[in-house]
Amino acid sequence: MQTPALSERSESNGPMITTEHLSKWYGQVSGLNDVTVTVPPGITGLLGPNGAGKSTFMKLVTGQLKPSKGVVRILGEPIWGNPALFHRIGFCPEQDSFYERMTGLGWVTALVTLNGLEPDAATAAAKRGLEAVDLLDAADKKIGAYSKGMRQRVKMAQALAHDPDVLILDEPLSGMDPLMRRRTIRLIREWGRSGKSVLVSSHILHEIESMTSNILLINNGRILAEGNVHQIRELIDTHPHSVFIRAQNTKALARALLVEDGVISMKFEAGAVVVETARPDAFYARLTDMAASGEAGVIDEVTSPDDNLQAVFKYLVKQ
Amino acid sequence: MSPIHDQGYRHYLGEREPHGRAWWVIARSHIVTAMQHRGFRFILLVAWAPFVVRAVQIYVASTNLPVAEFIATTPETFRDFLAQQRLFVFLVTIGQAGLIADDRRTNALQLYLSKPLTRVEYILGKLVPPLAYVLAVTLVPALLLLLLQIVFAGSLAFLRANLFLLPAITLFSIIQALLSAFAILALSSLSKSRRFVSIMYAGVIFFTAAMYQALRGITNSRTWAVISPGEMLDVIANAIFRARAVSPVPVYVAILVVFVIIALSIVILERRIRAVEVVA
Amino acid sequence: MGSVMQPVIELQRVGVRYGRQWALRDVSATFPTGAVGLLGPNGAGKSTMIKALLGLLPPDTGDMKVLGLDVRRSPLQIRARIGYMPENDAHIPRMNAVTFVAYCGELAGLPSADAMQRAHEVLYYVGLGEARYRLIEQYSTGMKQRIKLAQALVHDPSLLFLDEPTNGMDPKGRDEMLELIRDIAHNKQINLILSSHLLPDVEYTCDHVVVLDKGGVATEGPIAALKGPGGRVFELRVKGEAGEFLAAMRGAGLECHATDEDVMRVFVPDERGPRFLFTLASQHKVQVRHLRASVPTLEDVFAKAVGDV
Repeated sequence: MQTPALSERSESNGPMITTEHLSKWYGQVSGLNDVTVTVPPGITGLLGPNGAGKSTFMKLVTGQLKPSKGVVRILGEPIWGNPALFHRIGFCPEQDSFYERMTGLGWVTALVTLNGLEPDAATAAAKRGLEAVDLLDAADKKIGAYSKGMRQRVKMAQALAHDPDVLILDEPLSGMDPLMRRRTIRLIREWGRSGKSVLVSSHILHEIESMTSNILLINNGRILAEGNVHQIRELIDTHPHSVFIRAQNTKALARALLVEDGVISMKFEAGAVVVETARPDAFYARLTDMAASGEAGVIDEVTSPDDNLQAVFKYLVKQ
Repeated sequence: MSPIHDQGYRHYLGEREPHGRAWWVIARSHIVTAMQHRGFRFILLVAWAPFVVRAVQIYVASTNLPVAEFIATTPETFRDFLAQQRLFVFLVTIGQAGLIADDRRTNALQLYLSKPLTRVEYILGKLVPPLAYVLAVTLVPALLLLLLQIVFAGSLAFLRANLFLLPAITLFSIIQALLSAFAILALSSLSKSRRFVSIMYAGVIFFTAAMYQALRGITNSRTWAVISPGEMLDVIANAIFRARAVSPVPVYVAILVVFVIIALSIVILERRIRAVEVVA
Repeated sequence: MGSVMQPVIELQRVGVRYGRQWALRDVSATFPTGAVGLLGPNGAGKSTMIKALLGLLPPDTGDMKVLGLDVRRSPLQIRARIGYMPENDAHIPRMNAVTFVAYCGELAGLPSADAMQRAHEVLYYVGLGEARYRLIEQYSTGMKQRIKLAQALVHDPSLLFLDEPTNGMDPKGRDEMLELIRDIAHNKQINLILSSHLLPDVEYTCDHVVVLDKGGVATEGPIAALKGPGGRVFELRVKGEAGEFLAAMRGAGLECHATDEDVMRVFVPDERGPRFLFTLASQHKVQVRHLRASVPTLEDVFAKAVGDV
């Protein structure tokens, strides 16, 4: 099976994060194995099963770990041992460990000062960060008193307070209630649009899908796929496309579709036909025409149950 | 009846026990786990070594050997035996340091308190193992020694002359066991690390003993004994066994101190095991 | 299923106070049999409600009945018939999976032999059969979630309470857990309450929701009914030269919004339906890859209920 490797480049600047033959091992245990990848501006979803190497990858990209081999470049410069570059990166880790007695504002300011800003500028930046995540009114309360969602937001605030160009977010929505999730997704999409490079790692695939179509899939310490989900889907040419068609006259529709080249299988569900085809282009074109002419009855709905991130992920990871 | 059986989830149609058994399930689990620990089994074994020595002593005392006069069995024998076991009481108790601390570390309380058992049952289930172990190295060997005395001497004469020994041994052992068990349990509920709890326990015991000696040396007053639980147990033992030693404080003071420690432990336990914190 | 059955949980004017704050305020609600989602923003009172129904926090005012039993009078009996899967990691120290689950079964009232038998069965059911003799401390995140479910099921509860059951699991684990939950709710006749912030999960497994907000019930009801019928909005994705096609749609009076991904939202102001769109696409030689009437999601229901549109 050919591994798809299409990178979608945006019109704006060049790639923000590049790795070349990046490897990391811990004694005998291999964390990451010869990873060469380019993360473009905009939002990229970082996916993979537990233990695949995602956190290793993120730690290497944020300069917390030294590569065993290869190099990670942020904005063209190697990141390891390059603290000057750190202030152009914002990292929102998954773990929850705070100084509970500090206030939200105090904590974010302290972290921002570590990035090299003067105290006044740091406080102003911290306030901006807190405002962006809607925490300004609670900024003077102790973190120990924050709810789960607020703790998550304060982590986000410190990640973007110093206005970095690259944002690395590890399960940024964890603990948030549905409204906050929606707002945060909107916020992340804004950052992507504003030209930042955002790498979001999450297990909740439908949320990644609502942020971006651009993914980076890691499995067993290696890159399994990178690029646009739909393009990846198309390239998985050995795997037939599944098409769900809701129609008034399923039998007539089935009869009409049977004669099409490339139809591998057909299944009936309540009020619908599910077709598997090896020739998606031809099939969809024919289906559109059929629906327009009405020759096989009325067609209400066309969806592809496996042209989504969930299905692509499942298929690729099984390999 | 279909030849293909359902291997999946089945409903349970059997018996369910009435409430009130949970404390025993908890206690039994701890006792079984502790016994699987080689170090602990070793300590229990070694704890009976003094018993063997005493048994020999009692045997010889009951013979007609000339030396028998010097090691005659008296109530002091039993009092001294129990005093000697203090080291093993300490070791056995400190081995239980993780009783509640481990549960706090793994967040087990969220599971326990969502089951059909009350906080009292939980605490009782945790109290029984240390109680049992302490009694196993104090009450049981002491009573056995008494029994051996009767067997070796071939008569109930000694017992009849010292009838108070039976309740004395029992009462003292129980007080000692309760004090140790409550203390270790309360300390265990204060931390998530059993190592830290054992340090705290050892610290309290040694520190209070040392402080007593220091203060006594400075002020020349033995009333400071109240800060040392070990001394207080001695006072109680003196009174119960009708020993001739002069106690630094009256026995009712010692009883009060023990009572206060146990009461404080109960208060700590009540506050640390809060049902309302079960749900995050 | 669906005849007039006694609701699983009934609240009547329930109030619970923390100091001077009312965490739950004059709440009246019923949780029907089947699978019910419990939703709400952080701080809405969900954890208070859970504590109350576990019998750990008696209500200050009002009445609350779980499985027909009063929470004030019979908390132990209630807990004997409920299974609770906590959100956070929780296990009994130094036990392997089988011992742990059997232990929980005994604590819940099963005789010890039966508890051990059930433990094995339930561990197979949740997918831990192979790993059941290993120490829980060695388990991965996904396995720890499953074993929490196992200990909640071992005593065959009549009501299962799940708090964020897919926490920390990778996509495959999440799928499997959601399938398990669906199986439990729909095929095994165990009533279920799922508390989660992941609305698609709730939609997949539950038929009914109760939404809490600020200490009260914001909305409750069957998910299908709350969502309501779809409007004249369509999701549309095409492949081909879309420029002309888009212009044609607009020219025909349809409002088209391209989202950041390739799925468009098309507003049809009149009676025209899918066939019109197909015809237009066919004329302009584009393939229709995705066409669906847009239905409100549970997220929309939630947002409307909690007042954030």
